[in-house]
Amino acid sequence: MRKANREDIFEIIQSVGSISVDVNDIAPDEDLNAQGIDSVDMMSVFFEIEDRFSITIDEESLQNKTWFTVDEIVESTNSLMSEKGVSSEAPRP
Amino acid sequence: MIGIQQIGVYIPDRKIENATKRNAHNITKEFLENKIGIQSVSRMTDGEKASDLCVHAFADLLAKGGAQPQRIDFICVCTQNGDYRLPQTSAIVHEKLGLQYTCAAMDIGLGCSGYVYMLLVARSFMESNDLRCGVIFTSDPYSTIIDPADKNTDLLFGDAATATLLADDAEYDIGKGAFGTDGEKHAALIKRNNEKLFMDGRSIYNFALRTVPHNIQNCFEVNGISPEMVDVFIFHQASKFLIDALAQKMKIDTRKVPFRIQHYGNTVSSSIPIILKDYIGDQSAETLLLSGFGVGLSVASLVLRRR
Repeated sequence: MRKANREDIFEIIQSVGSISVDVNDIAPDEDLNAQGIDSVDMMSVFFEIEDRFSITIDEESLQNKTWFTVDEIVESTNSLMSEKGVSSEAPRP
Repeated sequence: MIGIQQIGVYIPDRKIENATKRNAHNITKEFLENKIGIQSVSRMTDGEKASDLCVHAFADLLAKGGAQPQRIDFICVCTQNGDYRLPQTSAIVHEKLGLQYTCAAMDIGLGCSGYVYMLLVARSFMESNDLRCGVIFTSDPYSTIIDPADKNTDLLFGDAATATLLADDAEYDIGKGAFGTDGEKHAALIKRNNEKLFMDGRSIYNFALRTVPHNIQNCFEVNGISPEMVDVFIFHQASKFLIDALAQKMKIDTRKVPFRIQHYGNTVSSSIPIILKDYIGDQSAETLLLSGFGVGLSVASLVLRRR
């Protein structure tokens, strides 16, 4: 089972049109909001993660897991995939 | 065949500058300009009601010519914030405009998809009953239901109204519609009894990006056209980031996707006709795609073709 990794999240951040921050400047272990990615951008990031990894990031998931940094997003995404039994061979492009 | 002949618009001069509320809502100038995209929201005069806004929009329609009040045989008002719970606001508009007794009058209780629905309902109703001159109104003054402390809605919604003249002698033919409803998400945008408006922005964003592209594809198919044939995509003017995200998702040239609500805000069912009026008399646009989405959650799209 293919898990999410940092590169996936960086790629998603890069694909979101409203984000003007260069992904090369993003520290994976620092709060994304403090690095110029606002709440609306995060909405788009979560949307793309849901589509790519076949999970649903609902309000409960947002509250029970941490999603502030790239590394936390990777961990929370993989945790959700595991909890919900997502067993795709590879994420959708 | 009944089509769109002319559109009258009323946007109140009274405005609230969103910049004055940035600090209270803890948002940046960049967020306001680049994400919300609304500098000020329009507000009707204290004491006014939805029907008053309709009357103002009708005055603009009269000023543009074409409408003859004594010939109007059908009116419809799209609102979820009518003058009263009953009667229908269209009856009050009927009185205020002094329309004839035989004029049919009805309301449609839809939000952001309301204009598209109303166009299709009105065309069918008029054609099947041999009615010749209809005016359909949008008037949904959200200022009456917004909590000023709620930053999710306070900076978004503005008051406005429109009046669209439908007749045989029309500029645009109304094509077929495509529809979608996700009733399970009805609480994502809701005004419960004795409460103010609640909006779950993320649910609406997800709904829009997941359903609107498919709905529009369905609309292309039922109308037998391809995306390249559309000159202008008039989306419900929800917010700048949502319009931008939809254009990006659908890979549409942003020059074909107008966003013009910077100085009055998201006016719910009025947002599409306010933009559409700019294409009345503009020969450069042959085929237009209208798509409304929101309250319900509901989506509806249709195609207009220049006659």
